[in-house]
Amino acid sequence: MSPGTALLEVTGLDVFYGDFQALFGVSLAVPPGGATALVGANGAGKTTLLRAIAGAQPPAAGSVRYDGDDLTGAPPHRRIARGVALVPEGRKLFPSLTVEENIQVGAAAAAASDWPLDRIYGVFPMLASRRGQRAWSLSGGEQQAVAIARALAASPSLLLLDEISLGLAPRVVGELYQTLAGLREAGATLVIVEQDLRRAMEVCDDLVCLLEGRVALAARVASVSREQVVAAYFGESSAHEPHRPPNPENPTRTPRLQDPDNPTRTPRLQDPDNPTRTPSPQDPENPTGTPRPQDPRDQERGP
Amino acid sequence: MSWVNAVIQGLLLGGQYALIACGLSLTFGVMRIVNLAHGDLAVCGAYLALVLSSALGVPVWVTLPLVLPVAFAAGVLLQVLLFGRALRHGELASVLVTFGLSVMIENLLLVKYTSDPRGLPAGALGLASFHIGGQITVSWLFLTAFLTACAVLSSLQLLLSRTSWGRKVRATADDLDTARLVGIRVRPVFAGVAGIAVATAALAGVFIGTIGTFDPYQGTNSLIFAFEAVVIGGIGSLWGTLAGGMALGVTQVVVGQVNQAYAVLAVHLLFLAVLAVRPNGLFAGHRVTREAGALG
Repeated sequence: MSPGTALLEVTGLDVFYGDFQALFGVSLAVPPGGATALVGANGAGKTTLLRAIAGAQPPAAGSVRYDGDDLTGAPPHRRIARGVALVPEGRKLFPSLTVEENIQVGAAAAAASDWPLDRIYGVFPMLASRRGQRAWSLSGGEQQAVAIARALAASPSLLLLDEISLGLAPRVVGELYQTLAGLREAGATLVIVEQDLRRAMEVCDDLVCLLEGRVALAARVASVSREQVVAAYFGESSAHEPHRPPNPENPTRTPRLQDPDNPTRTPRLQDPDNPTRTPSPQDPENPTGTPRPQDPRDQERGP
Repeated sequence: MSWVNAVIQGLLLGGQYALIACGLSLTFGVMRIVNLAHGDLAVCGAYLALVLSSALGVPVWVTLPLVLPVAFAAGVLLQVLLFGRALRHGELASVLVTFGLSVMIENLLLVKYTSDPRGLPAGALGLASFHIGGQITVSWLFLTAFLTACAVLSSLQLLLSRTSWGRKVRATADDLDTARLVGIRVRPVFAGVAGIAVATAALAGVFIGTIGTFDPYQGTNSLIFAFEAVVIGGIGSLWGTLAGGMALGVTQVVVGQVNQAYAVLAVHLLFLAVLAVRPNGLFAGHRVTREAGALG
């Protein structure tokens, strides 16, 4: 795939939170109509990358091109008008708005109205009967559905989904992913942050693994093994060279090795299959499993 | 019967407090700005009405179609040029900026209009009253102020709860970061809210000027009552602000019935008591988190 045919093209993105650098020269290309999984340990920069693509986090360097236009400096409302919508981590519904109002707010900057309310309720029938309720009174799965519906109201061509399965029962997650499959059939392009590696590799065509703010692996799902992804996930350098999939068409997708000059930046040893399990005791920095202070998501709520 | 009268007069007075407080409630609920110049902006409205009505030779009420748009524009400009920039440096910066603005307004008014107390001529309405039963006398002017306050608060409530603009305002008040993320253009929302807040303040200032007198320092006094009404009612809730204003008004008049010297003190004690017992306000909604800025 040449860079010109990518729907979304991120090149050399550097993102900082104050003095803390969360992304180091991240590049990725998302082909139209596909689904790309974005995986990596906690704090690897997945949420930051999605927020930078959505326009919530201005990059210090690099560019974001979408459908031929440079959107690097564009505010979120302009990106939404172009068709880029984010379902943020933790749903982030507006608590004083009803379900329907939450969805309607999503259309604030929409350029098209491909997704009127009745079509959205067709995809999420359980929301139709709850349209007048405050969003916080819904179950977790329903809240996640509202968050996706809010993004759909923007009539997106690219949907960025940040950990939509977080804290939900497997059955509910399965239903949500069925809905996503339907959206793909309708022509949407998806970028999915998912902790469940197996599900991510099942659903997506492409996979990008972030490690400590760098791309550790970028490949077609069909061309990598689970072991290779796990190795990239933990930054086991032995896994990099022999298994890196050849990708001659796209030179921007260069996987990066962990910074060898900085051995203190140990990756966290979290089982990608089971993100809820507490980290193994080998992790000296984080024996309790609580987020480390430099976790960018802790800093996103700054002023 | 005199107690019933005191309660009625207190409720009417509370309407005036609510009218000046609703703008404060809005700016805090949506922008997280405690606008310490809010009272001074109300007094500016009164001076503007005074100047216009004497220059044009028309009754005070006739100047309102001029005063309110000017006040709205002033609010938009203040937000764009001053408050919006201050907010980028945190909540403390915005408090300092509004405090500075308050001092500047008071001193500019002092230089231009001296410290002589002024009043706005209310015309025939100022002296007219009607009786209920034998002992209760209601001033038409007080009733007009009260009904105006109710109309303004109801309209704001409808605007916030029924329109797409209001939806954006509430979403922004809930969560600024996410509001931006879903494509709400926050700056125009803020500018509109600031314009409405200053316009309602100016309207309140005109009533303050017609009912009593005002001088360049009146703003600070008005601000304290407005602030107390907002806190008692529950920050960010418009109906709470109306109820808070009425609680203040009733306390002031009923205590004043016993001993006038303690009337204002009682108001401040009520405020302290509410702050100690229910710091989220008597009429705060179901949620106690910061997100609860439910303007409803």
